[in-house]
Amino acid sequence: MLFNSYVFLFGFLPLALAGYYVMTAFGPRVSALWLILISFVFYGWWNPQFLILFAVSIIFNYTASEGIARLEARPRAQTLALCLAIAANVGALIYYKYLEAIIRCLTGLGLVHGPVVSIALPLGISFFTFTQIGYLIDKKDGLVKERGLFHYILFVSFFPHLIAGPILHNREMMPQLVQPKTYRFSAENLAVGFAIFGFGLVKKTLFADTMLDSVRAGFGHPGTASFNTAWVAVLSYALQIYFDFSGYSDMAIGLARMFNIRFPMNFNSPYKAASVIELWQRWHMTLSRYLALYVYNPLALAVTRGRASRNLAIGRFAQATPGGFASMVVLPTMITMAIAGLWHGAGLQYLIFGLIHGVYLSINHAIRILRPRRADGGEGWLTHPVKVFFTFAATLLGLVFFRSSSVGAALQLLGGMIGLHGFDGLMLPGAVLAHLGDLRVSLLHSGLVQPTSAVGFINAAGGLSWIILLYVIVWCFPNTQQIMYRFEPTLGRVQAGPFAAYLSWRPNLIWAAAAGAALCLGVLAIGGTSEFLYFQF
Amino acid sequence: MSLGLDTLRAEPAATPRLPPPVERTATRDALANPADRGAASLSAADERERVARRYLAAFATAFVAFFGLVWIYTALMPMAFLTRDYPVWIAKRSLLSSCDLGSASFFGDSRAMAGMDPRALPFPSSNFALSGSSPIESYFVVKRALLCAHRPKVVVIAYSSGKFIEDDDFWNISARVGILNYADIRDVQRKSAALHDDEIEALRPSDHLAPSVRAALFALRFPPFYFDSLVNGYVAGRYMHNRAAERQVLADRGHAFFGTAPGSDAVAAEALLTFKASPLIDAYFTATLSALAHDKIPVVLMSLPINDATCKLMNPALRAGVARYLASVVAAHPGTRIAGPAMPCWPDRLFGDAFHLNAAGAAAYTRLVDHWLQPEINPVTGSSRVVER
Repeated sequence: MLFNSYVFLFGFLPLALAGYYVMTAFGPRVSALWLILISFVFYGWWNPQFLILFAVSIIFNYTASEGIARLEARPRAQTLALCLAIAANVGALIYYKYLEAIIRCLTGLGLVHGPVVSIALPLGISFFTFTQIGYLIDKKDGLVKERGLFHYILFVSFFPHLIAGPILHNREMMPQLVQPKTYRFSAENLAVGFAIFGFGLVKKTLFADTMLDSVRAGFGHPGTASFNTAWVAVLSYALQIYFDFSGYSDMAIGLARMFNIRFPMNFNSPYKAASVIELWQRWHMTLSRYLALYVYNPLALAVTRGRASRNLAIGRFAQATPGGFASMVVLPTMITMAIAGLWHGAGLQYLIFGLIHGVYLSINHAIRILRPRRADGGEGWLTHPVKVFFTFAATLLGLVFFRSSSVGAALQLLGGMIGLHGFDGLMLPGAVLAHLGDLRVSLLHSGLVQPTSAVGFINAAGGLSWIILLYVIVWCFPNTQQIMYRFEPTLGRVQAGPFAAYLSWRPNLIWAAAAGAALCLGVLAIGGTSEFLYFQF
Repeated sequence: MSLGLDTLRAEPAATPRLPPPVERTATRDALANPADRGAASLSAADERERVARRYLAAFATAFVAFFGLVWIYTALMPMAFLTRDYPVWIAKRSLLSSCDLGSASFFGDSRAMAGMDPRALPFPSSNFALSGSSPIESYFVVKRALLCAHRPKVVVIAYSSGKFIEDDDFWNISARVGILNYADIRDVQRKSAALHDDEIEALRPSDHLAPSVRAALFALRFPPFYFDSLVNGYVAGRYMHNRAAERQVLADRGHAFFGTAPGSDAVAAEALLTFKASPLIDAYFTATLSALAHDKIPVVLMSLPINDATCKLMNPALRAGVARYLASVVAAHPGTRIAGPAMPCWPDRLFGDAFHLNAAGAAAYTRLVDHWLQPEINPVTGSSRVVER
């Protein structure tokens, strides 16, 4: 079930909320049970057969975690048990998400013969698998405080994060789930939740989905996309994925808040980042955190230990040497980002996306090591916008691979972006051209200008203006968390954004009218329901 | 050294604080109202809740009010924002409701609408062809025509090959514009279920609505279904244009052009098609022919031309498949015949776009229609020399 579907908005959500608040009269346990029940209904709505897989995954991981905890006195056996449990999770993930692509690849190379069996991808398998692997590791490290099966099931299955994140950490969720306060009606949390959800819905249906046509025009025909079409497609896609993911994250955070639960921030205006390091601190933050905790840090630690065992330097100065930089920075970064790329999909283009960002991050780290920050911590008035611009440009290159159907298609589109497939002339209405006299003929002849109808011109200009307006929103306006900062929309501290005096939400009549209108606009814009980009991951 | 995620790494350790802290500003907002000052004795938490409840009530009211206003507008003012399909249908509905069917009535898709010009015919006729429609829509339009006392001497049905394969504009045009009402849509859904042919429902796989709910929402002009048109039509920007289109189509007895270029070598969809008649469309097509046969109204099946550019790329099996299908339908329905070849190839210069004839093409095709219909229009003097079976 999609958050931006009629069934969810007009059926599931009202029922889930009403049931939840009714159940609070019967105590926290009954309310929690209701949440588990509706979460399973939510998950099974699309394809009930995957409910079994989901349930098996939860039971297996909980049992494994308990086994790991019992082996506390035998570290080697505990590590072995953890490895086996992780292997089972990763194995299931590979089977459902990557096996078909691997077989196709092998078939293409002639190494395997016969028809390729199609394997249906269970919804959100990457998210609930990663969440549970994190739990297993924390259990082994003794970091899990709450161990009850009941709350574990709710932690994994709670529907707002179930199919597209954020990737939650048990230490930030379990304490909330065991608090009796969570299972009481709170008008304030409901109001805050609806406001955040409304912002997210508008971002998804009104901002992201309206980019679809121009994205398809370029990415659908990369071999023939002209300079203009290719650039419009890539710039539109950057907006589409931004608002799609940001909108989804807002909706998830808002929904959780309606049930008195706060999620971590997952998206913090990444296009305002002034470096690629900062970009990954702002984009899909819970995935970045997860990869840092469970992939990068162990890798970096292993490399450091390896160097230490060989009596090689491991300090900050060692990182400034070519060998030290390559082994202590580049190697773990590239491996982590390769995994991050492949996590998004089974395809070479995703791997290249990850590796491109690995290179970016490595370069960024090299700059930081070789050219430390100014002592006063400041930067020139021009420096910050320039850095933001270059970071955004670098992001666009990665997004070309991320969205393309293949590496070849990505390269073709990049060719279009540098003009290899020609340029489209500027569209001007015939009435305007008629006033240009002799210049008209030469402009038309040179191909710099194309004649179009007045309606065609208005539509084209309107489309371009819409893209510009959305970039103004991206770069100049506060994000949802900043608008809601007075009410702690997410775990952790949120700072006020620009125009905080005017654009900070309060539970008053003006904001009620604005939020009602925004939600109305978001519902209207559902039109034909489209899938979230992040569902495929 | 890290991935650059140093700040995030520490985050899980942070203990969540619940519930959210007291929001002093919110309380102040509420207390700004003198009427609320009496509530100052309440605890801060209770006061916050009271403010939030009032906010929720205002929020819900605002949502319902905005949504309701938009719904009223979409229900009452479709002429102001829908595409040209709407005024075209309104004009044809006027012809139907006044039973102005002429001696010959034409049914079909947009190709038939552009290619058969009643004003160029020497006998009265009306063009009821609708863009994006398939024989499914024709069935319901023909049924309405048959309610008239004065019946046409002949009915012409002309559909592109693709319209026997799928009705991909069923929801986007026919249901949205209102060519089909609730009962019609439910009829299609029921027949669809009986035939185990879910092609119509499969066109909207992701809205997850029950068929009856979807039919009702279209009939009630549920505003999200019309949001695209509201935006692209600048809310009311199409009103004047649509009114003019309605008058024009009415004056032209249902005829309307699409592309008006002096020629087109753009390739139409036929270049990619292989023929397989849809069971649902076939059911409605044969039901239409049966209804007309029952009322003893002769039917002539025609096939509009396609441009040379498309012909060059078209699989010959497509034409053979269409011809075979139409022949089998004619064999099963007395009073029905085929006029002209299946999917003839015409020069590109006669097309206004990839699909539709331009003025010159329509004039040429209408002359042929005149010839082909002589046996029914003038049974005594009419010639059947061009009739092909």
